[in-house]
Amino acid sequence: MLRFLFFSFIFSLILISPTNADFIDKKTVKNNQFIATTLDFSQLKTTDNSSIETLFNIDNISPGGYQVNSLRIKNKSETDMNYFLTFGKIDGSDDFCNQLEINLIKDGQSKYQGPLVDLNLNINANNKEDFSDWLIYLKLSDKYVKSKSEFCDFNLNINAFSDPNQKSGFKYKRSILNHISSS
Amino acid sequence: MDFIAKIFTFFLTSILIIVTSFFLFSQLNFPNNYKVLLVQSGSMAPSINTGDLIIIKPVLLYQKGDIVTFLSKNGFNITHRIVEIKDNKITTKGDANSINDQESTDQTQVLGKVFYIIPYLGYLIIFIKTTVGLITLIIIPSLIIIFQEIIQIKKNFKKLLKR
Repeated sequence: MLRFLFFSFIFSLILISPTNADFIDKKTVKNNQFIATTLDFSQLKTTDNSSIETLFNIDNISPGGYQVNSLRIKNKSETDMNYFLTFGKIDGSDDFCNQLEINLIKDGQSKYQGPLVDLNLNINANNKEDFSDWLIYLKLSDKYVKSKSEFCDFNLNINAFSDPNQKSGFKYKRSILNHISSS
Repeated sequence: MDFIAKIFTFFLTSILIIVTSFFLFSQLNFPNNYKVLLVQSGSMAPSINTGDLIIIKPVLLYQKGDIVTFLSKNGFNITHRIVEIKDNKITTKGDANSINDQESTDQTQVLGKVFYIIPYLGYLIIFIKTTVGLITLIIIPSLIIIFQEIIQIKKNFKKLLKR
């Protein structure tokens, strides 16, 4: 009897729906900036604080060729937030995308260095911290052998969570477009 | 000692029956039924915290100051406090938020008013839905029960053979 009740109880709990996502329909996108009451971030140019839509736009990259860009992520929220920087392929050759390497440097320290496609970097942004500046070094592997014209269009995704465990709270995703081609 | 154990089992069984029936009944979709919802964000803190369960029920008249759950345009349940009612539209705000919600809501979209808050029980639900929770609260107990049943069947079978 107790066993049956125990499982019924667990089952009844699983059925309970959530009430959350308070800000999903409350956010407005204005000048590429998320405005919400407790989770608010923007990606900006480090030169003039204007918003960034595209970070890397490189044509004719050669093996070993690289470019360095900077990105400012500003946490304007009332709470700390965790965000993940991830790679999201849009279009192009898998082989070519696999040959791209990225080095993400924050406060003079490399936070991730490796294949772009494996990028999954978790960062905690304290709400008292005004902004975090990133130096992003994108390189085409020396080992890449150019056989034909190839390209890789991808998003640098910023997935922000107010809850480090991502179980609750608010979630936002912003993407910055990138285009790299070998011709 | 046996008497105390029996009383304990009785109370535990009764509580489980009542709570389970209450939760299961809340899933029935008929007009004016109450609903139990898990709060997954902290916008209503400190009145309602993340991990709390809330019990909502539709009422005829919603008033300024009521905490209500409404269906957003995106189809999400949102629980916030009414700060203004104008022309059948309600403006809401999370207690922890510094500004009002940016879109007003039609009163027909309101699912109900918050009547009761059960603190912390939502964390159990969140835990159950994780892999660890699923293993510890469902899979392992299920395997133990299956194992016990197999042993019992074996015993019964042996008894039957002896006869």
